Amino acid sequence: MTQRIWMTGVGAATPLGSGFATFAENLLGGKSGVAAHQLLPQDPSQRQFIAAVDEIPVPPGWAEADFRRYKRLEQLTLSCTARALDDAGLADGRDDLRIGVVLGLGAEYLRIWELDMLAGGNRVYTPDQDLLSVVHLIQRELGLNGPAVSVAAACASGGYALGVARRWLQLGWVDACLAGGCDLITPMSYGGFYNLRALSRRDDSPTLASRPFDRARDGFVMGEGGSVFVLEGEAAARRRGASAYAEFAGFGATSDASHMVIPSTEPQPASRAVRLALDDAGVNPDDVDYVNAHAAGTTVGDRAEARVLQLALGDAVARVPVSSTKSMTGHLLSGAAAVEALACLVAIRHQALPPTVNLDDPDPECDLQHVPHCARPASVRVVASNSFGFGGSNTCLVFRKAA
Amino acid sequence: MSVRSFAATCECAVAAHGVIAAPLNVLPALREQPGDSVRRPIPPRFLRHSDEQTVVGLAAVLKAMHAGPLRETCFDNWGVVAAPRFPGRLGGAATFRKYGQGGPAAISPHIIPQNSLHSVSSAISISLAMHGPNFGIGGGPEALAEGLTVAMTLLDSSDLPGLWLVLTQWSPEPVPDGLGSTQTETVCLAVALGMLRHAKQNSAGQDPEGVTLRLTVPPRLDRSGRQVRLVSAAADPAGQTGAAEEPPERSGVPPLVELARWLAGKPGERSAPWSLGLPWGGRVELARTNDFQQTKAA
Repeated sequence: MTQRIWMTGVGAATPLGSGFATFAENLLGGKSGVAAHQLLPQDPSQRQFIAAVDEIPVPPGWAEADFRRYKRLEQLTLSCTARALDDAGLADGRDDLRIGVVLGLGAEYLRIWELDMLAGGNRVYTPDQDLLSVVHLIQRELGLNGPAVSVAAACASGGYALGVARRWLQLGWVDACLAGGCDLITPMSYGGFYNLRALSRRDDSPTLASRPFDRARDGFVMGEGGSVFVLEGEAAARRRGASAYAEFAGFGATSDASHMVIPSTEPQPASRAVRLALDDAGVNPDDVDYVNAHAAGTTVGDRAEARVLQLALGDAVARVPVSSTKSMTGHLLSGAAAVEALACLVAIRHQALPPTVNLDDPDPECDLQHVPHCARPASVRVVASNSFGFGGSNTCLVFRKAA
Repeated sequence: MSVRSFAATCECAVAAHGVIAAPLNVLPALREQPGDSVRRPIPPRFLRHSDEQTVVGLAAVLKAMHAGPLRETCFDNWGVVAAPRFPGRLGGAATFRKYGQGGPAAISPHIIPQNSLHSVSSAISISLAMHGPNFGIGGGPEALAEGLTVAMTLLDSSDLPGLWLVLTQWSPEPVPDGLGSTQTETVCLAVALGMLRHAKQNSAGQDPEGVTLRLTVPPRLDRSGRQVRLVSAAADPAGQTGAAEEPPERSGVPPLVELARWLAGKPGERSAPWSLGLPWGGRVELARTNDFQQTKAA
């Protein structure tokens, strides 16, 4: 029998806070992380509605001045990984462990080159400067000795990172693995999505802008941050007295093979990812207590996902609660799947369903069991989290309350 | 915590391969016509906004599909993973320049979907109607090692019928001209490997070129029971703690170029395996299946 994989540590930096407790309190409190920020230096009169991370936390044991010398993307990933290790009780005394790291980082070098350019550099023009990728920097700084890779499937990047890490543990390649996803908002990423007409153009109130499944939605709101987890085999975790946030029970992945940007109107490929994940976890749709939807707040995407869930869950779709926490966090792109996995752990730990805020008038073409406005208590044992990315990547993660 | 005292290996069959090495002047033609598809027709101008590594990556897969015994294979649920090295450098530099001149309004909406780490695998998945997993790996200096590691992971799990691993890079890495191209004399290189689990290959009766890819995960203990601490080359540049096995000396030729040369050789000429030491201490070898079997028997 394949060993069960536990999630024994969390490190996060999100628009809803950076510790598990703070994130949980804000998530279940229905708080929006979206605010007006001055992002584009060319036009100081304009403010953009984004869900930002105001300050990336310094990991325990690091001097603030040393930590802040790293570039912001490096700070974000270092903070999440180091704090996840600390949370799992693996900050020290792990020399005998082979620890891997898999991070979802969708446009690492575009971000690095851009941030360098904005700071007056010209790194994109000097290839000799690109010596160390972010995952290998983390490996060096944290003294990790297992495999280290970056993966990317746009908004599904973190899903693939978790899936790969789980598989390494099952194969016995590593004793523990850090896995998750992170992303930053930059002027060019914002401009690219804005010019793609993917972003909400509401200008009334920032907290009302992100409204997945709502009839008045008009695009997504960009978010930034990320979350990284420590994954371990259950037996090994028990031996060292570690506790689990949840079991990472199932993973499924497929591709639409349809379009580089637009989700497929055919629900079969993405619903197959959901069914693969449920099968992998050994559960059926009737066992699912909550679905954290990908739903970003675009009409085409939200409706496509509703059809996916209707097909994947069958009759159970009339019972299974569904919410989109992007209504509060914004869409974290490469960090989205990981932060939504974190929301699932909150649901399991607190036995409560996170809401979709701003869901005043549900789109009738998204006929699902929504959790509008407010969290509600529930018995939560099995949860599924969807992430669908540009390029037609579909992932589904299934988490189960650890026995 | 359990202590592993043996090396783990996983193997797969490379049932087909394709190699493309495109100088700058060849790229426009490849962009227009990357090759004939044995699947659905590739839409005209599908690659119009694609990164150059996407163009050669797709062309390499198409070449492999035509060349080998996979020609009759149903690829519907195959996966595709791509490990480009520094994708988006030329397009990114052009975008940064436009941004400097025209602000956010000048940013192309194609830069993120077409120049990110996922873009190569996604374009191949879409153009060839493959519904298995697709994602990008690496993107940086260790892209080749990362791509090989993850591809073996995927193929060893689930019921994936097969997997395309697409490895791409510029050689040498170009200095952008800020206009979307470069003055560097360079070649855009792609290697596509059509990978099957050995069991699947055997059951299908396919033994095209008899090539096996093997990944070895090193032991954590040495023979005397002393713990071997595995530290990546990046993590331990001075080599003080020592990796389990040092990669072979290289002549300064990029490993992907060496791999392309190995694959381009005739089967009878591949006397020695192609080998790559992984930064974390593992090793990947590509060799004739018979060579591996003889090693096992010995």
